[in-house]
Amino acid sequence: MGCQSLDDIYELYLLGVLSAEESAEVSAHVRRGCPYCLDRLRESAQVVSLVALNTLPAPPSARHKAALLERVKRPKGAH
Amino acid sequence: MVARIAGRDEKALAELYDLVAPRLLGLIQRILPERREAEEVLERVFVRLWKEAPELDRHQVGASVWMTLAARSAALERLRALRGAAAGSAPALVLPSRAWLPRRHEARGLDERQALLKKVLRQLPKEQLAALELAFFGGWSEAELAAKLRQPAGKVRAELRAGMRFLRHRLRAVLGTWAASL
Repeated sequence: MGCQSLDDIYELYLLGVLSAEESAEVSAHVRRGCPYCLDRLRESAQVVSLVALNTLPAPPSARHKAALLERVKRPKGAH
Repeated sequence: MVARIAGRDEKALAELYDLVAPRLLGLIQRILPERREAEEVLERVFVRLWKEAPELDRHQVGASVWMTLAARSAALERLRALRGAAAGSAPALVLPSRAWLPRRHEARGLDERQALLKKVLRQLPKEQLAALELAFFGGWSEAELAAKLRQPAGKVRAELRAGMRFLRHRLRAVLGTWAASL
């Protein structure tokens, strides 16, 4: 599988719609770490994330932020 | 911002929360409408960011795209746990490094042009947008999408590819990276 033949596949790969076999094939290709594939994957991640723009913001409840900040303050293993 | 969070700056985490939590919760609720479930997933995403920030910072990863993809992935994982086989079953991705994640300057470009990019999304042909949204928010594989849309798998793939190609070309034009990518 050549890098350029994957041009239209990277987004579908990150979107997760490929079959397990196809996805494994692309993963094996990506693991070679060629700069072209990594550039295209970085771009594809941006492209895929655009789909999320079609949502309305939903402000979290007031106590959510406080609970989160409290949780990260706790040392590891504390309850 | 990721650098400050990597340095265990809780104030930076709070600032990032104010900036992106409403958008992320909106995204998570498209996948998991139940509020309590969605807020739990949102918390998980921020805790994951807190833990992984040092590594993300080392690779100069921008927060926004990473958080969008992490929120989607966590919400779909929860949806699958709740619904079992009835939820989308597209395989989870396990990539070996962070090198594929957009860098800070790339994520910043996207954040700064969000209003324009929203318009781009609305320019997509209706069938392509429907297929992309079903895949993104439903987590369905291509074969499952074909069954849901009552279309041949080949047509579904063609819609998804055309939709993504449209977005990619528009993104390059909006970010001014068209020439650089040739």
